[in-house]
Amino acid sequence: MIEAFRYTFPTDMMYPYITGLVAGAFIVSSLYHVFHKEEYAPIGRFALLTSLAFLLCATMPLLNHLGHPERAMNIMITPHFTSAMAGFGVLYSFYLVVLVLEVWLVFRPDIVRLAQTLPGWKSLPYRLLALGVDDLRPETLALDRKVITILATIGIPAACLLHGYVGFLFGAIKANPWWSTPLMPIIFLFSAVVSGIALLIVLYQFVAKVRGDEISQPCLRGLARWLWYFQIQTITLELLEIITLAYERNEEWEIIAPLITHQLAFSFISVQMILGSLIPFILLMLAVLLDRYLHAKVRNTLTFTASLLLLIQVFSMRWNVVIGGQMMSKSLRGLRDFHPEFLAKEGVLAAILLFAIPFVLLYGLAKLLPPFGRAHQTS
Amino acid sequence: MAGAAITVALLRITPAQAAEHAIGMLPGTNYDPEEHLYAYVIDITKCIGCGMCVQACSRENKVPDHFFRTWVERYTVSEQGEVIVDSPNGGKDGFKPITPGFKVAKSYFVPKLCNHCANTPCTQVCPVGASYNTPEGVVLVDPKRCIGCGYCVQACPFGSRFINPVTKTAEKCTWCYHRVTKGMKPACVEACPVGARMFGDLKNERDPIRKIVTEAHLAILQPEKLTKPRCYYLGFDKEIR
Amino acid sequence: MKHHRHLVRAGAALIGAALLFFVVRALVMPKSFGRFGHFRGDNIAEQAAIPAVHGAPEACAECHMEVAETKVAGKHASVPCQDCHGPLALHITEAGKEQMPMHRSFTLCARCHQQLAARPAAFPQIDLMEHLDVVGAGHDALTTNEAICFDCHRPHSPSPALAPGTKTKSR
Repeated sequence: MIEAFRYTFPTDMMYPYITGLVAGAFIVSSLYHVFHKEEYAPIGRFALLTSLAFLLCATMPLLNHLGHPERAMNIMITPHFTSAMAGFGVLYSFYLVVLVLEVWLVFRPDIVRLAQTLPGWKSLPYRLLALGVDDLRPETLALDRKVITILATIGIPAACLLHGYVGFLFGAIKANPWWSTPLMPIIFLFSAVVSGIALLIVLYQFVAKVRGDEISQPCLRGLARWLWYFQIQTITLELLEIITLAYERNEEWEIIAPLITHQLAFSFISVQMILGSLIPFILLMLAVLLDRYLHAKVRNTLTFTASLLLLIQVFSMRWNVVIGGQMMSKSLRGLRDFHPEFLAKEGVLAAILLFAIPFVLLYGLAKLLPPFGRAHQTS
Repeated sequence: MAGAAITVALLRITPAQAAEHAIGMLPGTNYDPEEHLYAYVIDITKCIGCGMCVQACSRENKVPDHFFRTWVERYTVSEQGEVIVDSPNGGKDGFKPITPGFKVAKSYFVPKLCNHCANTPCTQVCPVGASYNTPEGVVLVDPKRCIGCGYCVQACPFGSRFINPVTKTAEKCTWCYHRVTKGMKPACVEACPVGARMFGDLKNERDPIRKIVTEAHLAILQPEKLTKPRCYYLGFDKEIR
Repeated sequence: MKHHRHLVRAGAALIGAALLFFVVRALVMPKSFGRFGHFRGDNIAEQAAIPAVHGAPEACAECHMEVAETKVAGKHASVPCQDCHGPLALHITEAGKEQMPMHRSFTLCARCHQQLAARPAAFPQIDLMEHLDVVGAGHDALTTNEAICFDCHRPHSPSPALAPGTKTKSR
């Protein structure tokens, strides 16, 4: 009843949100790099950079959450493999290596060219990244493309594992009936893909506006379809979980029912289910089913709005899982309210800052390795 | 040189060489952990809710205010089966009369603490091996290895763990390991004026706890979680969770 | 000429980084880690070495024999000394003997004896206000005289009660 523990704070749910974006963005990039769907060429490289930027930031909310961040490496020095969390070091490093290698190979022609053309110190990072090899002969590039395909192919299961594993972290806690379900990793995975595609649609349209580029309609059309498909999957799974719990009427339902109708009424029913699921479902349905009658501008607006709402949906889903799970007492004999603090170490401001960092990093990465322009025609 | 370093490094890839080493006597004592196996019995019918145990625990273990390694809950049940559970300040200052708003059919106190489960979800999820089970059946946390991730706090079905706001590491009841290794009982057991809390060594044939654990009708908390608690309850009620 | 020179270099860098990681890891892993299981073995002894704060139950009688005898003969025989007096470590310190904090308020007595529905019925308990009426002390007595219980009850052997007003020296 009166367990004395702290909440896991807002910054903590940033971790599953950010890794979700990593996995989703990577899967979009794979549409181009593995399946060679040409319509995604305009964003293939950008999606990779997005994935990398968010991956590099994924550990930040965790470090912020740890009581002893200076001991974080213990998780790799003495990993205890009966713990789902200990797998993090292995999965994260593996995925990071795959992703960095893929980014490096995809951008290698640009790296070599910039290393040769930029003056003085400006070329230094590129010379370092080129590893002293300026071989851009067609046979070499063909080999690179083969390796890229292999890496991207390994990357898909790796991304799924990395994020499915985040779902497992919650799903495997038998002490918490709101978390403990084998559906959890799958729900996390599908909603990760939703958030990744949605993020790319938003970023792509934003960057195109800023650069004055034309938005590729075939690309957007394809993304909208995938987004709609994955959204339907996600919502179905999320509803299935609740419906099963409600129908079985186990002991847990006694506490989960008041949880979702009172404590989480706004964030679960209003935000996650209506604003974030129903409305984008209708918008995307219009965009997909009426596709051939749509003016480009209408399609842009429909997908942009739906994507923004879906980003909110996935965010609120993470919120409801992570925060909601901690509102119940362990003896299932009562609920607590949660009032996020704004300025605390793990408060709202920290969460906003943590979410802003990957965007800043993405901006920096895009400056270093320009993903748009002539490059995508050559690669 | 580099070769030797790499060899050492690879040899230590898996640090667990457990069972190859006997722990033996703890340095400077004549106490051998492998010679003991502890159990804890709580008699609900005896507990008077004075909270002396909670107070003694917090003093013995310097538990920060508003956090508890052991606490006492009061269950108040109506004839219709409505249940109110309260535990003001963990019971540390005792209990005052309450007016539940219904006719009380039964009421009782339930002391709680870490169950020192044999099948521990908390040590299972510790990512760094900071939390572990000793041969005596005690679950401990190494404050020098704990990274303060709080995963064990979430994994414990009994709410027995918390992150100490001062040390920022996971903390919980140790069954006063520092006392029992010196031949004393846990502070809560010694503070109980009515003998509602009992502690003993199942490997000691003369210890009264053996008879209770083997012969009495005992209950455990949340048996469906299959954590195999080593804290047993006498006088249990179906409302207790 | 070969086409995979850059790939080989990248691979070598990765393998180098991995080896470096394992070497550093071996250096920073505590020596006793893994000796008895997946934890730092030395921690067992460290935990056992923490000094106890409360003394053993029989510790007080070593010096306070007289009180101990009174207590054993009375109704408070099973009440541990350190519940009301505080832990032994406050009394016997490295610097010598310190005054034990003495808790004499009625709230201390009420912890066990205030009537509560949850207490076993056989346990002696009173409704504080009612009891004050019975002994004729009046409800204000609690605010003016915190140690009012000791007016009639000797804490070490509280029963039978003395006549009201017979001041005890709390024996």
